[in-house]
Amino acid sequence: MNAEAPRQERTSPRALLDVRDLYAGYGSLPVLRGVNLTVGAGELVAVLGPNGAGKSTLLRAISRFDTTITAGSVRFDGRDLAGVAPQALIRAGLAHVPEGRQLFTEMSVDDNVRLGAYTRRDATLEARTAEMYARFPALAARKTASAFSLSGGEQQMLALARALIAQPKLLLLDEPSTGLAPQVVETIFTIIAELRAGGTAILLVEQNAYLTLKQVDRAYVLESGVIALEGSAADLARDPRVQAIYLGGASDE
Amino acid sequence: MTRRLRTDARLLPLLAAAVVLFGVLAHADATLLQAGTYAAIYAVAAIGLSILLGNVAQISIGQAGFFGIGAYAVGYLTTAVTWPPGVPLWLQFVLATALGTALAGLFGLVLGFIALRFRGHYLAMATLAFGLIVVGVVRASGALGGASGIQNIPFAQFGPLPISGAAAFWYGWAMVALAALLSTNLLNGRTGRAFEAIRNDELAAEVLGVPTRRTKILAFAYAGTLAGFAGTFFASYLGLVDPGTVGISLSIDLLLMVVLGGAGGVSGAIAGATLIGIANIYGHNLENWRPVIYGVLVIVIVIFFPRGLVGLVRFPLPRAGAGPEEATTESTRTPDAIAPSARDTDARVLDANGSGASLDAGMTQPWLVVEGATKRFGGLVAVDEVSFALENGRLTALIGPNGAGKTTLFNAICGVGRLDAGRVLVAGSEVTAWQPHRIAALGVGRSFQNARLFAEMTVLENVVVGAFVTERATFVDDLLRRAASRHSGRDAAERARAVLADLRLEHLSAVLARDLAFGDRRRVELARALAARPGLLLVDEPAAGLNARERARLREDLHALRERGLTLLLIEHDMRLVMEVSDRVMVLRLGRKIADGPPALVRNDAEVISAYLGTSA
Repeated sequence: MNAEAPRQERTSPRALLDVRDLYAGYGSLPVLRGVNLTVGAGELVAVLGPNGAGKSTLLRAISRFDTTITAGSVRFDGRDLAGVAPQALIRAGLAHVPEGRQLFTEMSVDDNVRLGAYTRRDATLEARTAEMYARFPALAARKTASAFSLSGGEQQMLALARALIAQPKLLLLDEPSTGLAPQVVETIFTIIAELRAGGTAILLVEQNAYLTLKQVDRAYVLESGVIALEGSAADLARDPRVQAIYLGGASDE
Repeated sequence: MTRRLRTDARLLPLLAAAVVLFGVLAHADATLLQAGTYAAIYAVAAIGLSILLGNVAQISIGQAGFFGIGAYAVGYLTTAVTWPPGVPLWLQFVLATALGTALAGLFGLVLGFIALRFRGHYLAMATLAFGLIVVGVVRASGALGGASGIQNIPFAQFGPLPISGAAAFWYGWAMVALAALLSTNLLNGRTGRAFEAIRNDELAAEVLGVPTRRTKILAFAYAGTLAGFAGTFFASYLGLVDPGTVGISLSIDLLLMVVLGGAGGVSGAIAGATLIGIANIYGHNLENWRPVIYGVLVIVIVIFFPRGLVGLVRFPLPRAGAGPEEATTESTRTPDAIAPSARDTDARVLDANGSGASLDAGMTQPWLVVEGATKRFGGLVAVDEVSFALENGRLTALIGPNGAGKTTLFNAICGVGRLDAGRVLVAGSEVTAWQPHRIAALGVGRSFQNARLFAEMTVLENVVVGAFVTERATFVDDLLRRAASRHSGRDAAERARAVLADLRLEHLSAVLARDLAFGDRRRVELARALAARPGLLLVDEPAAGLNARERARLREDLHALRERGLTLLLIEHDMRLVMEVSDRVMVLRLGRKIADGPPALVRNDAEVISAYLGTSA
C-alpha cells in the first residue's frame, strides 16, 4: 500500500535514536536488562515480544516517563536525553503515543488535538491543525465531541493527531492496534505507512507479530527484558524462533 | 509488634510517671491542676482519633460531635431529667456516663458505615459534616438549651464526694489510663493487625481474609466511644456545655493534638493533648492568635516532623525474635526452594486446612468451578462466558495476550468486582456474591501481579496477617486481652515463623517490606498467602521482574507446592515456565477461552498461535 515509499537503507550514518545498554524498570522492579537499539531517520522499526517482555517499558524509558533508568544511555538526534525534562521532548522532536491512548477524555476532540501543540504554539498552529483534520477526516467531523464519546479507532486516530501536530521526527507508538476491529487495524497500519512515507521515523510496539512484520523495515524481539532477536522484517517473518519466544518452545538449546 | 507499639511500650511508663509527678507537685496550684485535667479529657478523645488516623488511616474532622453527644447526655440527664426519688446523684452520673458513652459509640457505628463510601478528602468532608450536624441539632433543640446550652451541671460524683479539683485531675488521668490500656490491648491483638493491614493496603488485607468493612466501622465506633467518654466528664467538670464548646474548633484541636504528638498508638495522642491542653489554659490571653499559632504549628509539624513529637524519640529495632543472621535485603543464599520433603512441618500447610471448609485431601469436590463467568466494563466484555473446573492437586495455567481478561477472572474468583453473569463455586460453595474475606476464609489464597505487601510492616508482620483467617480472637477478646486474644496472636506468629523457615526467608523476618529486593518481595508474598493454609492458590504473574536464578527457584517452589497437594491456578507470561510447570493450560483471548488442554497441545494450537502472534492475513 505504500509502494511509492522509498525503502531506505538502514545504514544511516548517525542513528536518530540510539539506545545503548539500557537497564530500566519501575522503582525496585527491574524490567530491561541491557537493551541496545537504533532507529535511523525516517525508518520504521518494530519492537515485538510477548507480554511482560518490556516493550512498553522500553518506550517509556526512552521518553523518560515514570520509569527508573539504572544504567545505559538514550541519545536522540545526537543529544543525550539524561538531562532533558519529559515535557521538553516534544520540542526536541520526540512524541510518544502511549498504550491505552491516554486522551483527555472529558475534553473535546479539538482541544485534545491542540493540546498536542502546547509547547509548539506559533504562527503555523492553525495550519498544522488543519493538516491534522485533513489527514483524519473522521476527527474533523467530530471536533466538538468529547474524546470519551469516540469509538476505539477514532480515539487511536485522535491520539495520533495529538502527537503529530507537534511534527515529531520520531514517533513512539505503543500498541496502536490493541482492541480494534480488523478493518480498523488495517486503517491504522495504512496511516503508519503514510507517516513513514512522509519521512517520520517510527518505533512501533506491537503484539501482532505477523501483521507488523509485513509493514516495518526492521524489528527487534524482546524477551524478558533483553533483545533476543533482531533483523530485517523479512528474515524475522521466516524465523521459527519468534514463535518459540511467544509460546515457550524449546528452541534455544 | 509495630514501631508504634514499641514506642508506646517504652513511653507509656514514662508518661505515667510524669503525670503522677505533676499531680503531686501541682496539688496546691488550681490553674495547673485545671490544665492537667483538661489535658486528660482531651487525651481520651485524642487516643481514639490517633488510632483511627494513625493505625487505620481513616480521617475524622468530626470527633467533637461524639464528644458533644457524651457531654450533652450527661448535661441533660443530670439537670433536666427528673429522676425518681431515691436515685442518688452518683447513680445518675454512672447511668449518664454509660449512656452518653454508648450513644457516642452508636453514632460512631453509623458514621463508620457512612464512611465506607468515602475516601481521602471526601471522607474528611463527610466527617466534618457529621460534626456540624451535631452542633446544629443541639443549637436548634430547646430541650438542650439552644444556643446557650445546658448550665449548672453538678460536679460528677461516683461516690460520696464530688469530683473536682485534685480529684478531677486523678479521675481524668484514670480515664486516660483506662483508654490507653484498652487501646494497647486492641492494637496488640488480631484487631490491631487488621488495622495495620488496612492502613497499608486495603485490598490485600481483604483478600487475605480481613473483614475490612466491619473493621473500619469498628474503628470509627471505638474512636467515637472514647470521644463520647471524654465528653461525659468534660460537661460535669466545666459545669456547662454549649454548642461552642463542642464545635468544629474542638474537632480541629483534637486533630492538631494527634498530629502534633504523632498519629498512631496512644503515647503521641497523650503528649499532643497535654501540650495543647496546657497551652489552651495558659495561652488564654492569646485567644485571637491561637488559631494562627496552631495553624502555623500544624504546617511546621507536617513538613518537618511527619511522625510528630513521639516520632522524634528513636528506639533501636529489637531483634524481633528472628534469627541472628544479618537482616540483609538481598537473599545471598543459593537458590533454596521449598523442600517438598519437609512434610513433617509443612504438610499442615495443605491438608490441615484450618480455615473452615471441612475438606481433606481426599475430597471429591473440586476446589474451583467457574460456570459461564461474564464480566463487562461498559461496552467491553472483559470475561465472556468462561467455564472450567480445576482438578484438585494440579497446577493449571491461565494464559493469554494482554487484555485477555485473566486478572479480571482472578478478581472475580476472589470476590473483587462482581460478575455480571455466571457462578463461581469454591469447594462446593457458591461464592459468586461473597465479599473477598469470606472467600479467603474458605481456603483461597492469592498473590498479586505487583506483589502487594504491607510496605510499612516487617516481613514477619506481613506473614502474620496472612494467618489472619486461622485466628479466632474477636474484637472484645482483644479489647480485654482475654486468653483467646493472647493465644491467637502467639499461634499466628508461630505459624508465620514456620512458613518463613519453610521458604528459607527467616533471615528477612525483621526487614520492612518496602526495603525488600524485588525477588524477595514475591516470595514473601507467597509466604503470606501460605500462612493462611490455603487449599487453592491463585498466583498472578509470579515471574514478572525475576532474574534467571529467581525464576529457577520459583519453578522449584511451584513444583513443591503442587507436590504437597495444593491446587494452583497460575497466570504467567513466561511461556517457558508455563510449559514446564503446568499440568494443563487454558488460553483466554478477548475474554473467551480459546484453548484448554495439556501444554504441548495448546502450544501448537493454530488459534493460540494466531492469538499470540497475529495472523499474516
